[in-house]
Amino acid sequence: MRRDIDVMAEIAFIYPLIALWVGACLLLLLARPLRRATRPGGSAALAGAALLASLAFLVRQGNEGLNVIAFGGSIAGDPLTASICTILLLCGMMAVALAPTYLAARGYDNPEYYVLLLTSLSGAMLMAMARDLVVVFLGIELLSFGLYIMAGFVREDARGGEASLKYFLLGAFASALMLYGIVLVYGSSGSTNIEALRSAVIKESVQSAMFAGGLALVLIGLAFKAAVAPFHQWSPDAYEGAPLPVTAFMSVVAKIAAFAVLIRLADSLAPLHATWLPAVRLLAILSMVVGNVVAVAQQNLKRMLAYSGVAHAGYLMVAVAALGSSHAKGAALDTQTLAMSGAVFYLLAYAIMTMGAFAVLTYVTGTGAECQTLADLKGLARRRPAAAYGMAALMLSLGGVPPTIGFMGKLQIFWAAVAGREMGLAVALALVSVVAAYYYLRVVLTMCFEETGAEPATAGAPRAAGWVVAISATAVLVLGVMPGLLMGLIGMVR
Amino acid sequence: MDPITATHYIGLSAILFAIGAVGVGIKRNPIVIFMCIELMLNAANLALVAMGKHLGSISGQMMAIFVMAVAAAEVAIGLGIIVSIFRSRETIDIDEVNLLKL
Repeated sequence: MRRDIDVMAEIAFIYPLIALWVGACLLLLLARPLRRATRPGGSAALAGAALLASLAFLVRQGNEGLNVIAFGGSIAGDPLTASICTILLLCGMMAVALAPTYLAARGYDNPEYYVLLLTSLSGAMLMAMARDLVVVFLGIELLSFGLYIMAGFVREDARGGEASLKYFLLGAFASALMLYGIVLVYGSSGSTNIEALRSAVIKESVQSAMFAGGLALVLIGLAFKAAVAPFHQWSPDAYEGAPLPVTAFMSVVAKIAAFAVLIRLADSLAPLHATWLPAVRLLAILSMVVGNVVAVAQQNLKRMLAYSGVAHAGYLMVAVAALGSSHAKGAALDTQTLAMSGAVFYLLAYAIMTMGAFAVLTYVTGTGAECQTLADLKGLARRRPAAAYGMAALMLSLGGVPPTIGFMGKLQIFWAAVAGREMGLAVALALVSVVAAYYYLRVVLTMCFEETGAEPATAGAPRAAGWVVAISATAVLVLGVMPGLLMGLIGMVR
Repeated sequence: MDPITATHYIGLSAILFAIGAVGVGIKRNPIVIFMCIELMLNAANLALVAMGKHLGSISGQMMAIFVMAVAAAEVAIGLGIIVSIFRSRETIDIDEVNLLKL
C-alpha cells in the first residue's frame, strides 16, 4: 500500500508534463473541428489552456515539489528545476500568443503547430528536471524534434525548409556527439545518474581520460543547443529562415533548457572543476567576443538577435564558470548561490527581452511580409509609436543599459564572477558590453530618426502579440527597477 | 588467440563513430550525411551494450533501446524534411540549398 502512495507521488510530480502531453493529444484529436473553425486562434487557446494547467500543477506542488526524487532518481525537483520550469512555461505562453495571426496569414494556423510546441516545451522541462544523463538526452531530442519541424512549418517558404534542414543535420550531429559522450561517461563510471557521478567524483574513483572525454562531448552537445560559440553556426541560419514565432520560441526555450543542464552539471561536478573549468572559460570568452563582434555587422534583425543570443550565452557561461571556480578556490557557499541565482535571473531576463523583441517584429509584421531587417524598422516611431517604444526598452535592456532587467542581470553575473575570482571573465564581460550597446542602440536610432516613404501602418496588428510586447517591455523596466520582486522565484535557488 | 573482450567492441564502436563523424563533415548529400549520423548513433549503441555487459548491469542495454527509439523518430523527421525540400526545389544538395548565407 505504501508503495502505491509513493508511485502516485512520483506521478504527481510530472503532472506539469502530463498536462502538456494531454493538451497535445487533445489538439490532435480535435484537429478536424479546429481546422474547420472560421476564426483562427482556437488551437492557440487550447494550447494556452494546457500551458496554464501545467503552470497550475507546478504552483500547486509548491514546496512539496522541491524535494521529490522520482522514477528511480532519474528526475527530481529542486528550486532550480521549479524556477526554470516556471520560466519555460511563461515563454511557452508568449510563444503561443505570437503564433495565430502570423500563421493564419500564411494558411498554416494548424493544430499540429501547437502539438509540436507543447511537446518541445515538455522536452525542455524534462531537461530541467533530469538527474540522469539519459533523461537529458531524451529531453534534448524531444525538444529538438519539435523545433526542427516548426522551423520549416511554412512549407512554401524555401528559407524555412533550408533552415529546418540545416538545423536538423547539425542538431542531429550534435546529439550524436552528446550521446557518445554519455556512453563514455557510463563506461568509465558505471552510471549516468548525475548524483552518482557527483559522489564518484568526490571519492575520486573516476579520473580517467575516458570520463573527461565523455564530459567534453556532453559539453559540446549542450553548447550546441545553447548556441555557444564556436558551436553556434546553425543559429543565424535557423533563426533567419524559421517563421518569426518559431524563432522567438526556439531562441529562448532551447537556450534556457541547455543552460539548466549546464548549471546543474557545473554544480554537481564542481569537485572536478580542474577538468572542465578551462573549457568553460574559453567558451565564455569566445562566445562573448564572437557574438558581439559579428552582431555589429548584421542588417537582418533575426540574424542580429541570433548573434546577440550567442553573446548572451557567453554571459551565462561566465556564471557557469563562476559556479565552478567558487568551488575551486574554496570561496564561501554564498558565492555559489550568487552564481546560480545570477544565472537563473539572467535566463529569465534573456527570455523576457528576446521574446519581447521577436514579439515586436511579429506585431509589426501583422499579416504582411515579415519585418526582419533594419530597413523595415525605419520610422517605426512614427508609424507605430507604441511598438517602437516597447522595442526601445527591450533593446536598451538587451544592451544592458540601466534601469532595465538586462542591466541587473549583467550586474549579478559580474558580481558572481568577481566573487568567484574570475577577474578575467568579469573584465571581458564589462568590455564586450560596451560593444553590445552599439548595435542595440543602432536599432533604436533607426526606429526614431531614420525616415522612410512607407505609409503609416493602417492594417490591423495582432492584438495578442501587442500584449506580449506590452507585458515584456513593462516587465523589463519594472523588474529592472525592482529586481527584488523576483526573489521569490530566484532567491530560493539552492 | 585472445577472446574478444569489451575493449574490442568499444574499439570497433570508436572506429564506426569516427567514420560517421568524418562522413558528416565531407559528404554533400543530406541523405548520406544523415546515414553517417545514424552510424554514429549505432556506434554508441554498440558501445552501450558492450559496456553494459562488461559492467554487469542491464542499464546499458536499456539505454540502447531508448537510443533506437530516438533514432527511429529522427529518421521519420529527417526524411520528412528532406522530402519537403525536394518537393519545392527539385534538389537537396547541401551546396545548392543556400538561400541563407552561412
